[in-house]
This record gives sequence, structure tokens and C-alpha cells, in this order.
Amino acid sequence: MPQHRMTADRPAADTTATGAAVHVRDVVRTFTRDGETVHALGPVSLDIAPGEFVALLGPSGCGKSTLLNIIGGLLPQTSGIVRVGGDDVAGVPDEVGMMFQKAVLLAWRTVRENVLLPIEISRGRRAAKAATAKADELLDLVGLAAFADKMPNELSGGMQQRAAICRMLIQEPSVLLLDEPFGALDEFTREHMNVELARICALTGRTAVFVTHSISEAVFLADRVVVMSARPGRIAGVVDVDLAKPRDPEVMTSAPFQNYVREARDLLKTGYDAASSGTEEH
Amino acid sequence: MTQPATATPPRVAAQPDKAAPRAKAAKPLMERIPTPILLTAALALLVAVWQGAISLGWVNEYVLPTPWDTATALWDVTADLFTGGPVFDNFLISAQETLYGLLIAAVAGVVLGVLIAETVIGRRVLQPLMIALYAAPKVALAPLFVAWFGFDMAPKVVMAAVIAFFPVMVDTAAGLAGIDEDEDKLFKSLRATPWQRFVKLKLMNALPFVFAGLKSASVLAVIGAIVAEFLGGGEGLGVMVKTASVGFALDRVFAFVILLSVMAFLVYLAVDLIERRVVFWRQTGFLPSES
Repeated sequence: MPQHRMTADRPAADTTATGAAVHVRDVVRTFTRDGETVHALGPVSLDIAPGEFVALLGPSGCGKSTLLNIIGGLLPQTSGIVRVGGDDVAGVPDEVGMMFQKAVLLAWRTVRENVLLPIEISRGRRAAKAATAKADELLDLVGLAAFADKMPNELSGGMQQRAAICRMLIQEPSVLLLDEPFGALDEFTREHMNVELARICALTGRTAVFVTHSISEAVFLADRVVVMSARPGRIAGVVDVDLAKPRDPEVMTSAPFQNYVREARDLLKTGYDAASSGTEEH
Repeated sequence: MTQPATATPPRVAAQPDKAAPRAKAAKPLMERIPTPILLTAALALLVAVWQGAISLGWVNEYVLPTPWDTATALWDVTADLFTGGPVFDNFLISAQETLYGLLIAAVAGVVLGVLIAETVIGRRVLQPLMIALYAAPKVALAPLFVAWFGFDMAPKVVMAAVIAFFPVMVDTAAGLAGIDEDEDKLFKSLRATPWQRFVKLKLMNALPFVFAGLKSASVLAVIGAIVAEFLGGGEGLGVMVKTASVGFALDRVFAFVILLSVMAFLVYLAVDLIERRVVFWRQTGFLPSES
């Protein structure tokens, strides 16, 4: 029951031995298909501090979504240690909120009812009803206050994703796992949504893991860009982004920003060349 | 404007003066005629051919009543229906048989569909049995139902239900089987129990399919009830059709068939209206499209 987290913004994470919100150590994932074992990920090790915004950047098939799903407890790792908030991950952890490429709003529920869905599932209909004010507060935060009673198909793609943000936040998760959440949106809306997400994360001090294959998106949002390479997916390098927050989209034209982008691109290229020339041991 | 450039010149040349550039030339003639006019014309054509076939001596009048005789019979039958005559009594019986049968078909169809889609026993045992039963000519069971349930409404209700529940069952099972991966992932990430996943996700997604099955069932229930009346006797419009047929009053047979069609249509319409209320978030067409 995540109830005790409703009041504490920074949960048990600080008190663990490592102090990390997310702790990944030597995690490997293999898939077996038609009797053939595919080494998809790892070994990967990564520590994410509470309140940190980390972007997982890499080409398709580099296992970044696999890693995110393992952290979120949707997929078991083949070996290695995964801890969220100090506890070993077995199933979806209490403190995790997730968002996917599609908004996935249920068509038969109003926007507000969609936002309340996590509470309805974890604590029942009555608790969901009691949290109505909280849902409206969140909808107001993303500028959807006037659309609470609308059906999802009356909303644009960007508005649907904003509703999905509210749904993710309704149970006050301390760790946000975002799997290319704005990948299906057009460039302009996407940039707008990124600013919004950064604002919300800064406002509420949440830890975020953001999967993307856009270099500039990763640099714009993250405190740390973890660059991954494919076959098998592993960490090619890390770019620490030391740009003041909150960041304005204008920052993307600045020289330091461009330098970070170049750094990330070089890491991607090195990883990509290594993977395609077949010098990996697997 | 999306037409390839090469296609444009000959079209312009073919109709030099009529092709006003802003005219909606794309809409063909048949699309522009209003539906009521089109349907009336089609009906008039049918009646004309019908009358013509008799007038020209292609068909004997004893075999095919004239449109006028049919209309007169239909008038008599309708008048009888609305003044509470024997047609009304029999209509009421047939309508009740149909509705009870449809109700049983709806419940049984949904329950069996859920069992087939959601349980191992349903999938491995129930499904093959049901397919075998589906293949069986259920009309042949009518004498059996008469022997079991007598000559009252019961055997007709059972026949209506038996014939009507298959599409409900099949469509319910099909609706439950189609899972949206993203929605499934969302429910997993929210740690939903299998029951929550079933009630709050799968069942809701299956509803349009269930209603498509119910629409097919509404028409089949009428057929089941009438066929059972045909074969089992007693009371009902089916019996009246049979009586008229035996008395060679074919104009009355035609009138009853039209009346029965209207009845079936009304039941279908009722299901469609309920669907619009229940599945409000998704407007499906009038015809069942899922099955």
C-alpha cells in the first residue's frame, strides 16, 4: 500500500545504504526465441540519485526499453540486482509511476476517471472518488482543468499525453519511468511537452528515467544522459549535463548545449560502429 | 488534387463545358440522390416487376398473389393486429417467445463466451462441443423440444434461444480475445488483479462485439420462434402463416411475412438503441460489423 507515501515526497530512498533511488548492478537480460538465446542487455550497472533526471539514449534495439521495464518490474532480469527505493524489484514497485509512448486512455472513461484509474485499481472505487480533488488539481497543473469531464477522443494527442502524465502522478510516485512518452507527437508539441515535464519534475522533486532516441531531447531534459549501444545493449558512456534549470528551449541553440549533443553523438557513434563491425564478444 | 497529372488532361477534354472547376464533380449521381427517394424507387421497381410477372402470365396468380391482393391482406392483418383481434393475440405470443428466447440467448451467450475465452476448460472442452452443436441442424431439434416441453410457449422459447445464442457466444469470445497490448501493459504497470483486468478492461473492450452478436441474435430469435411454431403448432404468427398457407391464402402468407419482418426489425432496432446507450464511446454502424 503506497498510502504512507502520500505525504512524504522523498521516500525511503535516502535512507538506503547506497542512497540511490534506483540501483542497477550487473543486470543481464537474455531472450530465448525458437530455442535460440539472444543476449539483449547487459551487463549494465547504474545508480540514480533521488530527484535526478536520467535519460537513456540509444538506437532502436539497444535494450533501453528493456532496462526500463526491468526497473519498473514489468520484466524480470536474467541476472543481476535491481533495487528501487532500496528494495529488490519483484513486480511493479510501489514508488514507480509509468508512462508509455501512447497515452493509453480508456475510451469509456472521462479524462478525470482515467486519471483516477490507478487509485481505483490499487484502493478501490471509493478511494478513487475521494481523490477527485487531487485529480482536478493535477489536471489544472497541466492545463486540462476544463477537460476533466471530456472523453479521451475529444482531446488532441498532446492533451491525451498530458492526461497520462496526471494519471502517472496521481499516486505520487517518487520514481517516474518514461518510455518515449512523447515519441508519437509532432515536433512542436513534443518540445512543449518536454518543457512541461521538466517543470513538473522540478516542481515535485521526482526521480525520472526517460527513454528516448532523440539526442537533443535527452540533453535538454536530463541531468545525466546515459548513452547505450546495441547488441547486446550496454552503457557506452555517460554525459553529465551541467546546464542551469529550469531550461528554456532557447538553450538548445547555445554552445554548451551543442557541445553536450556532440559528446553524446560521439558516444552513440562509437557504440554503433562497435556493434555493427561485430567486435563484440557476443 | 491528389490525382496524378497525367490523368487530368483527358478528363477536361471529355467534358469541356460541363466541368465547371469548382463543381463537386467527384460525387457520382447515385450518391447525390436522397436515400428515401432511392429506396422508394427501388421498391416501386420491385412492385412493378412483381405485377408485370403476373400480368404477362409468367407466373400464375395462384402461386404468386398480386401486389394489390397482398396490400389488401396486409391491411386486414394490420387492422386485426391493432384492434386486438386474433392476429394481435398471436403476435403477442410470438413476440414474447422471441424476447424470452433472446434474453436467454444473451445471458447464455455471454456466459459461455466468457468461459470459452477465459478458462482452460472452456477453451479445450466447451469450444469443440459448441462448434459441433453449431454445425448441427438445430431446426431438426424442434420435435424433440415439443416432446420435452409440450405445445405451449416453452419449446418455442427454447428454439429461439438455441438458434440465437451462437453469435452472442462467438462474438463475446472474439471480443475478449482481442487484447490491446498497450492497455494490457498499463494494467500490468498498475498491478491490476486478473479480475480487475477482466472487468475494467477486457469486458469493456468486448462490449461492441457482444452487441454485434446480440444484433444477429435478435433476428435469429424471431426465426427460431416462428420455425418452432411451424413445427410444433399451438399458437403464434408462425401457426397463422401455416394455416394461411394450407388454405392457399398466399396473399395472407405474404402479409404475415411482412409483419414478421417488421417485428424482427423492431427487435433489432431496440438492441441497436440499447447499444448506443451502453457503448456510448464508440459509434458502430447499424449493421453488425464485428461478426
